[in-house]
Amino acid sequence: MTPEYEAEYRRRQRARAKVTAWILGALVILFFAISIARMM
Amino acid sequence: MPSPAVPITPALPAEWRDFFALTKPRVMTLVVFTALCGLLAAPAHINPILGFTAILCTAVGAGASGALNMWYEADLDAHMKRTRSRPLPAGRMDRQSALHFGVGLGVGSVVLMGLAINLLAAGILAASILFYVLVYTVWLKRRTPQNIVIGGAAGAFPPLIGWAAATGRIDLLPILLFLLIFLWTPPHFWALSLFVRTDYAAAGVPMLPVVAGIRTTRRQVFLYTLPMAAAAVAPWPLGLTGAIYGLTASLLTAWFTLLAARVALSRETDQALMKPERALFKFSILYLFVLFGALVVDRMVLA
Repeated sequence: MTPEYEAEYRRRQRARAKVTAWILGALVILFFAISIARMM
Repeated sequence: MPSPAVPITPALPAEWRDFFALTKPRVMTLVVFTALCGLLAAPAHINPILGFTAILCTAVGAGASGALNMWYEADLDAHMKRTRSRPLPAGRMDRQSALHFGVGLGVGSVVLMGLAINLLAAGILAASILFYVLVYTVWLKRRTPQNIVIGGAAGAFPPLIGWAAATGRIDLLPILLFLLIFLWTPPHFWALSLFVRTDYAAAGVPMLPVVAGIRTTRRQVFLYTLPMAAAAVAPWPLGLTGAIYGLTASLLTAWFTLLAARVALSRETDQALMKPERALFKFSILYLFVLFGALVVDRMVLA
């Protein structure tokens, strides 16, 4: 694996991890909001 | 004799944008819009958060269908100009990732819909995903020129889902909306397939223009437009909508029928010169958006 290849590999991994984290955070907020809405 | 050590270079992981592309975002806009219209036109109040969740689940379910469709059709997509730059045929993603992504989205959207909204909406969402993937993509698309006719049902589910999410039941109006999209799909897709038929022929997809010829397809475009027109206008005389929808539907449907008649009467065989077909294809998209928009405005005025 060349250094450029490894750098690109890590960049993609980081980008995917960030998007996954944002989606999980949004789901936490959504599930909380759904719970409140269902209780009302 | 021991073989020399060969350094193994792992394949690059797919970009998140490629996963997003798997969900067919452009198709999703129409799905979201028609589901939202079904939800807003329903005679029931739904909590905005639950309404948002229902539309989100519908959109994610549609994304799952798109991803599984691309997973199954990667070989086919590689042969068509329109689709060869998709993540799988372009080699930017491995098939297993697409399969896992599609199944994950599909199961997640149905489970969330069932838990947060109601079982009827979740059941229709599950049926629409399975119908699109199994009946249309796997079974019909490569086997029969009627693939679009029956497959069109998959795209007709969203207003039913929106309505079921709001009311917990199915009434006559959402069934008519289902019929409208179901009958709109053949003229819409056959108009497209007329001016990209060489692409379909190269990929071996038995689309109607490839199998039955251009003349038959043009006639079928017009013939399917007639029941579609009836389904589009029907809610008004049946008293399910008011004049706002009725007049909009009458005018737009008359124009749609005129464009379909121009397609039926056209004798052009050069794909690059098929103006009536291109005009009908473009207008058919606008037609559905405006018609559903008018429905919501009309129902809100009535309410």
